[in-house]
Amino acid sequence: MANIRTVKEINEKIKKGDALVLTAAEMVNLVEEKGEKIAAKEVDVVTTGTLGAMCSSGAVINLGHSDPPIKINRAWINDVEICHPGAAVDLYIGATMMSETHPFEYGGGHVIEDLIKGKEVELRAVSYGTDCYPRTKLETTITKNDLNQFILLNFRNCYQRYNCATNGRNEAIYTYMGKLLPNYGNATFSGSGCFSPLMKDPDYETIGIGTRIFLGGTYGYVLGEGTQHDPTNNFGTIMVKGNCKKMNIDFIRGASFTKYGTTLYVGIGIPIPILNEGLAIKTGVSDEEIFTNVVDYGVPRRRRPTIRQVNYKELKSGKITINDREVKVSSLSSLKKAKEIAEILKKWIDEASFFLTSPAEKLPTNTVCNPMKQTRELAFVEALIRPSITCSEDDTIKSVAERIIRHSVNHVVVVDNRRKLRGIVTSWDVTKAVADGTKKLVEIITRKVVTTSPDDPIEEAARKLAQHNISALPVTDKNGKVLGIVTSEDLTKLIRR
Amino acid sequence: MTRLLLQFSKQQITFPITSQVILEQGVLLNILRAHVEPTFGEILVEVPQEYVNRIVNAFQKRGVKATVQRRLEVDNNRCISCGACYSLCPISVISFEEDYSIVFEGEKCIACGLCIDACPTQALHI
Ligand code: SF4
Ligand code: SF4
Repeated sequence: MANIRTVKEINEKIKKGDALVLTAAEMVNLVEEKGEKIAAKEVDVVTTGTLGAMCSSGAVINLGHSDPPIKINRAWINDVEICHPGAAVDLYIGATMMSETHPFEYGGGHVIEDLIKGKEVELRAVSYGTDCYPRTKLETTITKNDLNQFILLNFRNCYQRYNCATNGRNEAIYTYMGKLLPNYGNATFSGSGCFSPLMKDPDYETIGIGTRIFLGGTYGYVLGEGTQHDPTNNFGTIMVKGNCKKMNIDFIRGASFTKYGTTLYVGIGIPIPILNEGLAIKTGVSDEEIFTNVVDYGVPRRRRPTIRQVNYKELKSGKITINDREVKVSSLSSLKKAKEIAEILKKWIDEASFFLTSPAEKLPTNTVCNPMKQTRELAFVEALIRPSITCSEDDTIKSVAERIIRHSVNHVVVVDNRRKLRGIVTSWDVTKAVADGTKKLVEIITRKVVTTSPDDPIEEAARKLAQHNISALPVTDKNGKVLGIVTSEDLTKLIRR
Repeated sequence: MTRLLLQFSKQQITFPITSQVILEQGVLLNILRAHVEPTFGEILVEVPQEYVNRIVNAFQKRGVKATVQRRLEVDNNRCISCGACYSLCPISVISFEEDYSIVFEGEKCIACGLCIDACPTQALHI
C-alpha cells in the first residue's frame, strides 16, 4: 500500500506538537465512525499496550569487580539462583528461577521487582578460583545503585495473541494460564485484544530491530523477533531490552502462579505510525474482530484440543459459553494497565518526550516455529490401552469370578449400560468376598476409582499407580465412558524398554 | 477491626442484649448490618481486634452465638487489576468496572478461599 507519510515527517510533527496521537481504543472508534480513509488522513500515531505474565524475561546485571576479584561460578540473590552466562561478574536473573528457600512464592521476577523498587538484596557467590580471579566466596548486599548495568533483557515477550484456557478434567489444575476449575468451570485468557501491540501491526510493517517502545514504565527497544516467533499463525513475539534502573513497579512486577512457578509481569506499549491506509485499517481492528481459541488445558499434550473460537469482546465481557454453559472468564493480563500504558505512551508523544523510530530491520513474517526434536518419543496412555473386562452392578459375584478366570485378569470394570464407569472389582475383592461369605456384588465394588485418559503421559499414569498403591487404571474419556484399562505390568514393560 | 456475626434466637430478640454488652464492656461496636425476622436475628458488627475475646464471651454468656467472620483482604499495593481472581469467585464478590478496575465487595465474601491461590501477585488474604 502506498505510504502517505514517513516516520521522519511524523517526528517533525511531534516536535512541533502537531501530531495527532490516538490510543488503540480511540482509533477503533474513529475508524468505525469515519472510516479508514479519514482516519488514515488524520491520525499520525496509534499507541498500544499490554501488561501480562511474560516468563521468558530477565535482567542482565554487572556487579563490578571485588578485591580480590572473583570469576563467579554460581550465584544467588535472595536465595534465587542466578545464571552466569558471561564473564566474571555478569549475571542474568531469570524470572522463572525460584528461591531455594521459598519456591513458588519468590523468584527471579521478584528479585527484579525488589531491585527496581530500590530494595537491598543479598548476593552470594562461589567460585573455583583462578590465578587471575583468586576469590572463591562472596557475600554482600546490593541495591540497583551498586550495579553498573541493570538491563531488562527478555527473549520472548508480547505474544500477538494467546489461547483462552479452560479445563475439562474433573479436578482443578494450576497452569501458567492460572487456576482452572474442573469441568470447564471457568476460563482464563491473556492479551489485551484491541490494545495488543503486535495485533495492531500484524504484518510488522513498522516494528523490528530498534523500534522504540514503552517498557516497564520507561522506554525500551525491540531487539528483533522473540523466540517461538510464529508469524504465519499470528503468534508473533518480540525480544526487548530496557534500562531497569528507570523502570517503575507499576508496570513491572514479580508474580507467581500456584504450583506452576514464578514469573514477571511486564508492561509493553508500541507506538504504530500510520504510514498508510492499511495501517489505519489494522490499528482500527476492534475486540470483536480479534479471535482466539478456547483450548482444553486439561489435556497435557502439545496439541491441546480446541473447543471453540471466541473473540476478545466476549472475553472482555467476563463471561463466555462453553458447551452450552455460561462460565466466568478471567483476564490474566491487566486490561486496566494495558489501557493506561497506551495512554501514557500517547502523553509522552504529545509532550514530545518520545519520538518514533524506523526499524533497522523488520520482524520476519515467514518463519515457522517447529516442535521439539525428541530423540526418544514419550509414550502416552493411548499406546497401552487394552480392552477391559466389564460387568454391571447387577451381576453376581460368581459371574465376575468366572470372568476373572476366563480372561485371566485381575480387574473387572463396573459400567452402566452406556459404558460409563461405576466402579471396579479386583480378584482380591472377589476372593475376600468368597471367604467372608459376602453375597452381593454391590458390597464389594470400589466406587472411588483412580482413572487415566488416553492423553496422559505414561509417567503420569505410573505416578498415579504408585501414589495410590494400585495395579491398574481404567481409561476413560472426558465424559466418564470407559475406553479400556492400563495395568502396571504393561506400564513397567514399556518404561523399562 | 474484626467482624463478628451475632446470631440471636427468638427469645433473645426481645432483650437489648447488644446494648447491655456495649455498656458492660465499655467497647463500641460498629454495626454493619442488622437483620431481624420474627424467629431469629442476625447482626454483623465490627470490633477492635484487642476486644474480640471479651466481646465474644460477653455475648456467649447471654446465649448469643458470636462467630468471627473472616473475609477477603486485598493488598492494593500488590494488586495489578489483572482479574485472575475474578472467574474463581462462586458468588459475585469480585467484579470489574468499565475501565477494568477490579472491585471487591468484601461484605459478601464467604471466605471460601478459592480466589486466594489464583492471585499471581499474592495480593489476597483471608
Ligand atoms: S474467598 Fe471465596 S467468596 Fe471470598 S472473594 Fe474469594 S472466591 Fe469469593
Ligand atoms: S488476581 Fe490478584 S492482582 Fe489480579 S486482580 Fe485479583 S487481587 Fe488483583
